[in-house]
Amino acid sequence: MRINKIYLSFIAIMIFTSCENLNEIGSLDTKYSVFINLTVNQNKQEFYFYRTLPIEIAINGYPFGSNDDFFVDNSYISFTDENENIFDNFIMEMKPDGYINRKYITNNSEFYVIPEIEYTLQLQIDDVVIKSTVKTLPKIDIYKLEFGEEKNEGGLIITPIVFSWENIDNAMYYIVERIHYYTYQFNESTSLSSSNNIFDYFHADQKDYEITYNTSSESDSLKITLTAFDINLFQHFLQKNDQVNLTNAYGYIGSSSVIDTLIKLK
Amino acid sequence: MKNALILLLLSNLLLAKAFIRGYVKDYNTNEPLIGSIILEGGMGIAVTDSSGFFVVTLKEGTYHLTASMLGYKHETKEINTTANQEYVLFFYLVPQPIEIEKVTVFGERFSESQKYKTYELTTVDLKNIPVFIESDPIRAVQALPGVTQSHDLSDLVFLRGGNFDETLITLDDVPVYNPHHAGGVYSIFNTDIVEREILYPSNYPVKFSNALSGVLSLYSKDGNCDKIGGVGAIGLLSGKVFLEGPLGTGSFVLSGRRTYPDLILNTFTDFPYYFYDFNGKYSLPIDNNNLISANFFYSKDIYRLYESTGLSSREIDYKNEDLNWGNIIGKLSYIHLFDNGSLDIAGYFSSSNSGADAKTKRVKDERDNVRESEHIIIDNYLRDLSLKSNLALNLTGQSINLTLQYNRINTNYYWDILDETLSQDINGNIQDIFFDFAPTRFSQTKNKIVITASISDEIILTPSLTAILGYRMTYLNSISDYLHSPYLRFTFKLMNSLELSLSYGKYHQYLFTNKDLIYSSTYAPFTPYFLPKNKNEVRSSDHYSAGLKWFEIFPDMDFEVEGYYKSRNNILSSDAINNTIVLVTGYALGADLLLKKTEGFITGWLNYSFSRSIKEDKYKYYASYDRTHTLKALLNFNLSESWQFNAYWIYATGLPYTPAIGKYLSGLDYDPDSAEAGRYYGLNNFIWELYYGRKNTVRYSGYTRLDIGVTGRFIWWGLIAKPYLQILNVYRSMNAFDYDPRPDDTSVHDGSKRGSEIIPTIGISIEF
Repeated sequence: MRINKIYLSFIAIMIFTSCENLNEIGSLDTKYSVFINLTVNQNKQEFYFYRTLPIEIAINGYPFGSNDDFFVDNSYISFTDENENIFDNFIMEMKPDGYINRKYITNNSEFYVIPEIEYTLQLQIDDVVIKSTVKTLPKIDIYKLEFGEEKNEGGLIITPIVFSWENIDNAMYYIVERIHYYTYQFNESTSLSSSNNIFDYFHADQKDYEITYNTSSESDSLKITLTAFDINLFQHFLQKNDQVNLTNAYGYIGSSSVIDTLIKLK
Repeated sequence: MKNALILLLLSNLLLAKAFIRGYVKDYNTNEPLIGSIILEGGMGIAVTDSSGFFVVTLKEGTYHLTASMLGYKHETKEINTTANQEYVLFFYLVPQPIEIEKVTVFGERFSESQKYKTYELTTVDLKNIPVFIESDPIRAVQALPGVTQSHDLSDLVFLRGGNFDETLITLDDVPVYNPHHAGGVYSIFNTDIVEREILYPSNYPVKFSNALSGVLSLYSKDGNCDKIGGVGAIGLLSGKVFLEGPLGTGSFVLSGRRTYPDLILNTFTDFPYYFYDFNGKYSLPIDNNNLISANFFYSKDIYRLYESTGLSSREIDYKNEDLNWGNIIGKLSYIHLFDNGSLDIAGYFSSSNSGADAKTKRVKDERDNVRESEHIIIDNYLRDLSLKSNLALNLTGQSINLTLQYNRINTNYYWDILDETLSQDINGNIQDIFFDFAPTRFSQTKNKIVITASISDEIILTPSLTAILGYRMTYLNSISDYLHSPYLRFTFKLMNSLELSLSYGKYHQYLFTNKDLIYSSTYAPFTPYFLPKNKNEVRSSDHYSAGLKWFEIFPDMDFEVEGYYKSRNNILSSDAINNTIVLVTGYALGADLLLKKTEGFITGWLNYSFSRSIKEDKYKYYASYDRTHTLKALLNFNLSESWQFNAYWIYATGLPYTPAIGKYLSGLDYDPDSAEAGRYYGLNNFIWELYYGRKNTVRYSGYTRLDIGVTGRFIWWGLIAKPYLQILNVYRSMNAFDYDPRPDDTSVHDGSKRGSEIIPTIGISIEF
């Protein structure tokens, strides 16, 4: 009967479609995360490279620190400057307990990042080659640092400090950090500890900044750090782009310029 | 719009001389009876349309015309006809559900469900389906074959492998663009106002447009012409009032509903939400040939943002207003009846809107600069202004419908959510609220015209073979192009109780949402509908179906099955991995089986649906609303004249989702607590992202639920009291409905959250 044929055809189509396998989850392709900031005015350069983790590995806390697959420790890194000088002497630094942080650092300060020069990166991890270029920022300086008059604010005697700098080319934003160092005593031993109680960022139209410190506090010294960031770091940190100036890896390669000054208070 | 439902038997039509037209109405309520059969000599010769109207043509002679309808006592009138004369008949049928078994069977064969594949629910059906706290005409549709839902709480309608926005929902033929309260938990339609609803699961007629999957068409009551009556009801969620009666020479309907938990709970705690809606309708017959009617519908949801707990030292001021959303619908129609047809002219306005200018907070920063720390601004609306005319002609051996429609559609979407405070307040994120991967700031305004012309011709080719030929043309000025939609349907009567149908139709959708990730969010009241920018954005689909109906397959039981295949083009696919929305192709196929029992101690239905909804981009994958197997049973036990017990059970394949299979570091963030100079980040500030597998390759566990209810009917002091007790999810199946893997929490790497608990509902309605 014709009707039966029609419905048999439908049933056949249904069975055929039911058998279609669309349930292959797919394999976990290894992806790389690369974080490179060439910092002008700083001897020690630090680079971080990581691999994908399976979803089952917990990362609240640091159990992943024991997962060797997560940390990249077999990479080849080289930077070539405009004069064809090649810098590829980097070593893996591990925290003493080995569980928290592994990073590539410059070996014996051989790689001193020169301001306003273009570096070409060639990074090989496993079989993947990651290439990019970055032009470093100019050197930044704090050209003025002045103490203001002591004043009483709500019972606290505070002293304002104003410092100023010249904006540098290609800097997209700045960060100011103020760190107090103070004598720390415990069980009759004395050591110097620190606390960071200012962390502020602002765009490049600002050229001076005022901070205050408590004159009557126990601080021994005050360290002010000013860091300028280029567009790559701006896109990553402020615009939250996962992939900046890299084509086949997450993360970024960019440049910053840093200056710090230590003010003795006692 | 008036749809001519007249079927003329060929033998009559060839010799037709006299014209008889008239109405069939409920004796008690004066409501038009849609789908009533007009019989002559035991043969069905006409079926009433949505106004209860019919036309027949007969040769000269004496006839006994009988009007019959499921649930009513039939009525017979004698008429002597003379050639070239016209006659008007009015039938008022008395409700009598027990005495019409045979008519019921016969009626099914000549009703709307014969012409098109439909499922129809009446007021009685709506009251027999267990409810989720509030009786809901849209949620009731989920018990029908071919319809799936996303989770326990959702009242969205997914038809035959399509997304929820591919189902056009209309009230008295006016499209309703945001038919949900509470973000898709309840519909905006009060059950009391609904006379009946018709679901076209696919292959819908050309008179509708702008739906890729199907149409759910609700018709409101016209009101009682003879006496004032009404219903007052109270449940756990809302209180309702319904009034109807004569007004002047016409009839009116007024109804209103408001939720009240906020009024009670605010005494003890902060309950920030309520909704209300009201409906009005007035029908005025000018004479036997002319009718004017006016409809009005209004719904509103209010979500009060929580009051500020006070200002901190750096906060300057704080403003807190309400979020609101709703619909406004108005319709004015004029119907003129003439010898062998009718003309229906209507204008309507349908608007859905949502807005907020709320919760702004200003603060002083470290340098005493004043800035806004948070704000919510929303101004979204869609307005559809339409003029529509429909000419229905009943000629010899055929019925022709001509429709012409002009729509001006204005969409305006603007929002600005600073710091995503809205997300925090309602425990969602921006893409849940507006559309997949929506930005926090968005602005778009469009004002476009749509012109639609359609013609359908229902032809009786032989006594056992009828055909419907249709064609719809749509002009969209947003793309400056035409869309062509042919339609074809053949119905073969193989035996007196067996009927085969074959259908083809092409469909387009030019208003659509950008929400595809239904497992995570389903629907939000702020979901915008977009117009296409070019023809490649217009959704299109070809529907092929073949169906079989077998009446009285068992005593008092009918069986029907329909298989379908739908090609789908330019359909939405959200890529959660790359946070992008793309348009892809796909298809859906399946079959719906229904076994329905209409009489006896137990009534109800059992249905099974097989469905595959596949999308194809770079590879094939299941649509996120694909449920392969769905089995449903709705049983009503007529325990006595006063008590009825009902139960609804469902089992369905779990929805698919895309599993997270890995995680990677996407960035390092600042670490202000670092004590080392130059170190502006640390491991505490790793930013993790998930790495997903292939799309929609894993499914939740099967979806299952049992709802039960008992309803009573008593007469107290001349009033009819109907108490009810219903329990949703009796065996606490805790169906999974959300996938929310987090990279920092391995405990949810399988992603399943659990669903709703056992939810009891009680209430009572009083009719007078």
